[in-house]
Amino acid sequence: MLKDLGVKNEKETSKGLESAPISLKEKEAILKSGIFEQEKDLMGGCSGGAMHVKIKDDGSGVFKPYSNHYLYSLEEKEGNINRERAVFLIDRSLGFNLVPPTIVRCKKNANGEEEKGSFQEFITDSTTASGFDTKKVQQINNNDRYAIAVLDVIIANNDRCSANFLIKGEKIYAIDHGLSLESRNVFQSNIINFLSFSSREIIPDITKESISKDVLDCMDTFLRSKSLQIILRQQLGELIGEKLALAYIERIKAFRESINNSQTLDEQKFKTFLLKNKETISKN
Amino acid sequence: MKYVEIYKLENDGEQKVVLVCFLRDDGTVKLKGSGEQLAKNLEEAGIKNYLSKTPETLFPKDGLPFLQNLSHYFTSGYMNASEVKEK
Repeated sequence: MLKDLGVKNEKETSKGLESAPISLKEKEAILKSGIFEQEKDLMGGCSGGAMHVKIKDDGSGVFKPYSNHYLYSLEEKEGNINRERAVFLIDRSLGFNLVPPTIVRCKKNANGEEEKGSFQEFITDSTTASGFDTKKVQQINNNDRYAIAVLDVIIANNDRCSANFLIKGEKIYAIDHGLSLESRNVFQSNIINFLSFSSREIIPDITKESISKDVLDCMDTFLRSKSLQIILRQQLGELIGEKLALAYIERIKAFRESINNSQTLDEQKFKTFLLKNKETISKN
Repeated sequence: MKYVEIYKLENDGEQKVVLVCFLRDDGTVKLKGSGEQLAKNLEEAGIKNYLSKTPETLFPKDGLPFLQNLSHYFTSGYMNASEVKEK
């Protein structure tokens, strides 16, 4: 099932950070403690300060401190960084494996000060969907297309423009989740607002198109496992706060319960469940 | 002349200019460069207006607002856009 999602399990993860097959945990360890051999400031991009970093003997990653963005306060920058990691954790817990390994780490900036940022494995030989010929959409793994649609609703992603996902062969990689998991959207059901303009030819409208069984099976595996949910809740709690972590996990449940017999999302049902969540969580 | 450069990140960490978006005298934007598919997609699908509170799509024909939003749209590192430059 996981292979169908274009993802390998931990032991099979291929071409690690550009090396021999290594597990996901090893990848995360490399990202966390690998030595930065070469750092290149990237030109452009309003979030500011992004870098391509070569890790000694272990591939490369993109470091994003969100440091130069004039629209964000310090608190918002920290939130963006943590949400990048939080979405990676949700994605892996659900078994979608769309998000490249992402961690939060510090590095010294040009002034010698410690700077916190998200650090994500760099996917070589990929193209952003912005440069993809959508006539070739059938070449993309169908499960990945449905999985990214589901993921975006679950994380209330406001920003899945075609610049924010990568295509490599048949595989989709979801990137740039700084504007998801926001508290103002956790009880929001209007997913049309979350689907962005130019991605619609690749990402299906799951209120109309049936979500693939494999994707729903992945969700069910997560929802049957109390321990997976507890672990995820703890991990998310450290990144986005306990109450919001709980609300987003309840959002996953609400989403699954809103899938009707035709395997499409019943938006009205979803709205009702989210309202119930709001009442319950607000009371506690 | 106002313009924006769009950079693609290569495997070795170098950035290559794949598209230059020029503001023409008639107020529309011309896209020029090796990123032909990217240009086609921008022409056909447009980009989100990040500076507007209401959902809105901007196209090259919209001129300066389109240029101003490119650096908000392309922020992933894999593809970044410069701020509006002038020459």
